[in-house]
Amino acid sequence: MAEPVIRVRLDELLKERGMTLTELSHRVEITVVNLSILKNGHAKAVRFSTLARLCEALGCQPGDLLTYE
Amino acid sequence: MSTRWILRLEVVLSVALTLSVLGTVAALIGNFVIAFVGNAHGIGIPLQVFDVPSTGMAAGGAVVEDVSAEVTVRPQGASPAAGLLYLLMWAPGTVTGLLALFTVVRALGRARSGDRALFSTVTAGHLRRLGWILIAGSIVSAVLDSAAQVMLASMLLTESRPFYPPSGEVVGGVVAGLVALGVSEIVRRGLVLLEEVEATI
Repeated sequence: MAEPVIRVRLDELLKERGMTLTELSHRVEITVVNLSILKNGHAKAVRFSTLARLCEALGCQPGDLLTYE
Repeated sequence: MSTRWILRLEVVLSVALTLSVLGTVAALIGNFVIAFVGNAHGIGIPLQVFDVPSTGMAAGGAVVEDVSAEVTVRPQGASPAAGLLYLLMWAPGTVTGLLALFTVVRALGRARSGDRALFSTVTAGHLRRLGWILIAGSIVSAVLDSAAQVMLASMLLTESRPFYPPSGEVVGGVVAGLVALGVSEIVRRGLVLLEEVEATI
């Protein structure tokens, strides 16, 4: 049985806002590599500060960014 | 982080390992001589004797009791049985020591070439192996040593005991093994924590 996971909806939010990963990387001051790790679900944990910066840059709430599957 | 001290330690332990192997080979030759050639004046077999007479040893106002000593017995002529039993007395402990030393040297060699020096899964694995080698090797060698001493004493001495207590080395070996297992677990858990920290964005 597959373990339940938290998925980061970065791809969808970026598409909705017509923003690229590199652009987001500049706005939140997180490397593209780390954002890719986050986007692909390889991150083990997210700092509140990172989450806050992403929400600010994407104009969304944490609940819009994370889904439980 | 500088790995120079690891290199130096590796060199020192490698020299110690080489000398130990040479010493083991020399001991094996001695064992072969006892078993198949016989040496009236050469290498002997160390055995414990108990209740040694101690008259006149004690100073005034003191009493000497339970005197034990280690004697060196040399079988006259070739004695394959004595040779084999003597081999059982020393070889398991020596092999344990050599394997432990070899594991440490290997762990240091790998640690030197790794990115994170000693703090790695490879080191944790080596420490775990070292721990089990020390624990199992010490227990097995103590049992064999004790059994071989009983048989050798009954063969070579007029008086023998049904049980010869193992030396304190067995306790030291087991404790060292447990310490190695403990450190291995600390390194392993530390690596899990480190991995989680590194994977936090």
